[in-house]
Amino acid sequence: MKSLNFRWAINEALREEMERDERVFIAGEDVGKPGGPFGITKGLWEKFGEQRVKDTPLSEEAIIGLAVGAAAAGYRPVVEIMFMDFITIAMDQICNQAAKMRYLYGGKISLPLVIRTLFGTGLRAGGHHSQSLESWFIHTPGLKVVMPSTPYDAKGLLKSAIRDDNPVIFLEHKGLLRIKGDVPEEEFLIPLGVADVKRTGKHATVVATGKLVHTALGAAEQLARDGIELEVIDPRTLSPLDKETILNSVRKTNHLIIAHEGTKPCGIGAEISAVVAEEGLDFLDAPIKRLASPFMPIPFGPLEDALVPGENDIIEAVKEILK
Amino acid sequence: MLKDVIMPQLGAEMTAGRIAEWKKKEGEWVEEKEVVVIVETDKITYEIESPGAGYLHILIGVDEEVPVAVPIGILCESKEELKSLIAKERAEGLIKPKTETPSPEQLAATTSTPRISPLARKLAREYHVDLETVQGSGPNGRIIKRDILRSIEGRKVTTSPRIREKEIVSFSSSEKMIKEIIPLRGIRKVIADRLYGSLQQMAQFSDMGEIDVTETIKFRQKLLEQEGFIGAAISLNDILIKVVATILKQMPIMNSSILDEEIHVWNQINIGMAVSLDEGLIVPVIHEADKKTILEIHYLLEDLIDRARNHRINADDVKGGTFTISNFGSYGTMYGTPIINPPQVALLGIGLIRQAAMVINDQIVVGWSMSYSLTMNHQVIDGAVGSQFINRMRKFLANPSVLCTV
Repeated sequence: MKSLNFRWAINEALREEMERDERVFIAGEDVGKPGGPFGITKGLWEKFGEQRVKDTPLSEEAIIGLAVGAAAAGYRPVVEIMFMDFITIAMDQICNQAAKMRYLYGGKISLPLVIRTLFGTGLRAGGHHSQSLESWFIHTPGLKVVMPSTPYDAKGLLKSAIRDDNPVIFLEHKGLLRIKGDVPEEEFLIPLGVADVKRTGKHATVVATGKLVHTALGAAEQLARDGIELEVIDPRTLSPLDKETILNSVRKTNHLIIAHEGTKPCGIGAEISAVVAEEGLDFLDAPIKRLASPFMPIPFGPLEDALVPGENDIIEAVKEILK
Repeated sequence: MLKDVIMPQLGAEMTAGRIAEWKKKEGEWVEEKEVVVIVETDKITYEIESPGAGYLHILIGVDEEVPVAVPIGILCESKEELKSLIAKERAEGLIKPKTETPSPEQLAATTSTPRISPLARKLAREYHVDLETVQGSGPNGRIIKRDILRSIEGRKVTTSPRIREKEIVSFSSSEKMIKEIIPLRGIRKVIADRLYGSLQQMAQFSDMGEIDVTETIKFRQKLLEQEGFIGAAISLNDILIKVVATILKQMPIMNSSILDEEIHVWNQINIGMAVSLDEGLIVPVIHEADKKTILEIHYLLEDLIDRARNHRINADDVKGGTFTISNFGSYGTMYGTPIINPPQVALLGIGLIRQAAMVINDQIVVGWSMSYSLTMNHQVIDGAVGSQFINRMRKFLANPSVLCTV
């Protein structure tokens, strides 16, 4: 085991996959010589050269278009959208082209591409640099959506995403880049579509995504002092969702809270609530509670700190449904 | 028309009585003169006949005490009458004595369908809890899981007068969170009551030790070699039953019961063999085992165990036992303190049978050893008598050929 931070876990995954398969290449804004705006691709341009670590023009549509074309031609591109907020410019390429081409061509081609993108709060950088937009892609058939919360999950899931023959949106929370965690020395993969029980408990289930996994774990520690044992589940892959792990947990605890950073309407919380209401209604001893960001554009500056659900919000919500 | 069932005065000095058991359930139809409830005082237990016919609404629960002439139940002519009676009771409980405009929460709470969580509704269905009788303790009076579980707990009833329910210390849910509450019912409840009663009624002690069964193992092996000729594979249990039955003929005091301050020594020797099923222990009986051959015992036992495992055993198969054998050695257990099956006075536990080193004539040899645990009721049997029983067992099991003379 070694201690690795989140951004290096991603770096190592990229390096290992590029070493393993020469069809894998990286493209994005400033990913090459500059080493990426957050330093995530540092050292890769030096090692693999300009052909395999490409700096692109400032055009998200072109970046994804490049990925779609290259994937169709037999490459395995891993492209980066610097801030998820800008992914809107490439929506047609992602949702109409990348997501559908395999189906439209009757399975003759597959598009083994990965779109890495930085999302979420943490820089106090306002409404165009902090959003969590995973809902749009969960809603689109033909795309897989992955959101790791630890260095271990990030490395194992990214390697699997690169080896997956389907388009995968790989979401990296910018507020998590510095966190450290244990990662095995030897190679390992984490399968897509499998949730992780980050903490077992018996009184209530909290399903949390991204940075909120850590918030939930912090709340769990505080609640444990009052004798309340929280079970914290990290779905890791948002689409396809591991329904079984979540339902099994709710069957055990009879209480469910979902905490995520995006807004409530049609968020991952809404999806999980519907699944549990449809397939596990009899498990519930209290209404389902969702904790999410308020329905407003993200404010610029320190106000951002008040936006995202915190440990106390989770603690209060748990105590309320256990009444 | 509503009719009251009241606490009767069962004696000139009686001032109050306790509900021991409701023989009819909430909402159930009761015929006139049908036994509807059992009430008790410190002196007596009395079955109350219903003063009329109707659907029963229970007012006073089990173990509660009320003065004489207080209504303990109401008989309603029709289900509608019952429903409106319950609704009226509920409304009286919820509407405040001072007139106030009810808040939205109160309005929600007074609607006739109780607010209930999906889980609580499912549990109520499974455990046959009438939701109308459950008080909700969740937000806005919502009925939740703990309310259903409390309702199930409150249903516990006392059984025979000899077995008094002690005060059950319950954990309040603010101090300890209950993981699960399993109601005691069916075979589990029968076992719970019988065995608890057994330890209360008798002075039980156990004699434990080892018996050299080397010769019996050899004997049985010979029988197995002749399986085709005999027609069956004789088991050690078959042999043990025959041995025990024979000894009981020689020592009839071990085949008795205490009834009304007298020791009744039984004429028949009916040996029960304990069988472990998923839902609990069951003891089918080989009647007059002393009069049967080992082969007959084998067929009877095989049939009983097979039917027990397939739940096709009937009442006759398990009644009339005068002595019980429990073979727990097959689970690897060596010794135990088995509890006697009342009203018997002894139970022979057979533990692990295994190869062991033994000292015979100053030599260490390898033989077969069988652990035993014989529990006896000291009110009837003293230790010396128990030792005699075991010594006879030793004799038979060391010389199994003697069995062809009995």
